[in-house]
Amino acid sequence: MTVAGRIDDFLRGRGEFSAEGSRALGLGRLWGIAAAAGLFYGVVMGSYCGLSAGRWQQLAYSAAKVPLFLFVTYALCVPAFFVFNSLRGLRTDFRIALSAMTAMQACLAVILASLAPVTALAYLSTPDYGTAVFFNGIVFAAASVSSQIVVLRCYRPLIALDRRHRSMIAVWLTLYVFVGIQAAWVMRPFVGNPDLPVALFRPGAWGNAYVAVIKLTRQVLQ
Amino acid sequence: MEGIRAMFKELDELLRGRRTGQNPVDAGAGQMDAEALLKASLILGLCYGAFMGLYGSLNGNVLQVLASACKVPLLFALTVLVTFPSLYVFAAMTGARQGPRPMLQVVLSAAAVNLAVLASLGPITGFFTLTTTSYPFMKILNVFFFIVSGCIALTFLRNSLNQMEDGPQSPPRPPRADEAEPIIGRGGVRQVFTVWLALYAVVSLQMGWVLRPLVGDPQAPFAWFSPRGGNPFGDFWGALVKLLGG
Repeated sequence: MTVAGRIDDFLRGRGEFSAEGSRALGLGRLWGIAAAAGLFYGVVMGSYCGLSAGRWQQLAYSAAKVPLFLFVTYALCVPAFFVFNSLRGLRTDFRIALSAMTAMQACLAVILASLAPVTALAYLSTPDYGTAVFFNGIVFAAASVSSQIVVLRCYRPLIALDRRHRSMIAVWLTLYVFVGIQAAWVMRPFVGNPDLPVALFRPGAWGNAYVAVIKLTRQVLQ
Repeated sequence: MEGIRAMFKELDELLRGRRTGQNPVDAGAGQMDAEALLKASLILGLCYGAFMGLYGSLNGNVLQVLASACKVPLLFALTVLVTFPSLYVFAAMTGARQGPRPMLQVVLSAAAVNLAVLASLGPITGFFTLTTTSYPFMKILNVFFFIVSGCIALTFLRNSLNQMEDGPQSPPRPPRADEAEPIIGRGGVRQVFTVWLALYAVVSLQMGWVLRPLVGDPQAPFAWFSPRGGNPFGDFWGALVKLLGG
């Protein structure tokens, strides 16, 4: 089967990606999709400064960082998700629950990849770096919200078995958003500021996203 | 290796509620191997403590990791030590059906649940430790994680104690012929448990304050213990004001 055919099956939830009958999806295949689609979006994301001399590395950095960002956020949330599932007495279904959350990563990456042309157009339309960063924020938020369709589809058989599974989706999303915001902050730049030299990580990037937001809010209010 | 596997199997069964076949938080502890649970709790406490103390050791002083790794299991052990006698005395006075051993087993199970939740949040604490320079933020994050895990453990403990009194799986101790008729009924025993849970929460909060610093300020010199004085609420409020007010 071609890669496009496999992604089509994944988006439609059929064939090997069918969630019917409460079976866990293959994590390896899902991560394969997430890595490929994330890498593609990363290339487009890092293309804001174009391919001028000394700038092409940003494409490679962003291509590597988007799948890495997805994986790091996911990996940090899994232990707590496991314990919360166990505590709610839902441990027997954990494999399926975990595959649903892995499917979310794959779906998020596929949606990002599908929005890559829109991002490229936005880059061509604006000379302002801040706008480009903001636009990417909107794209990530839209992809995160849309990927819940796949989560709900994968969770449907679980919720039919036990309604408490609904609360586990909320637990995952809370953890994922909380960690994801910080992970994105630490792994910046993803877009690449044209006024600064290309870097894998911004010098002095180790900081806290939430503290930065509080500082920014304080400045605005003053 | 076999011993470690047995320890975590016991903890796993507690978390899964396999002993009771139900949701463990709703169902309670059931019959547990207290020794295995204690050992597993110790390891989990050491793990979370190490993650917690990592922030204070960013200045190169690894003693804070060691101190926090020791203090987290100590915090739970001392809290149980301080509060358990009063639980047993009041429960016995009000005519609780169970003896001290099952009660202690339930309290230890709740501590194990608390530490398991904390340890599962350890990687997130570690991630924020390595990426954050704000000490007040780290304090508030750890307090928040302790509150989340504490609420889960207290719910577990309340349900376990109530189930132990009312449930069919632990046969009650046969009353002696000369034992007085309990003055307070089953509802009264439940009330004693509720009041004791509040005591447990307050004592664990104060114990955490006595054992501070648990996170450790990397700008300050290392100290095993902070001087006496102050209170946890004032310190938390100060951290919040510092975080929000700069």
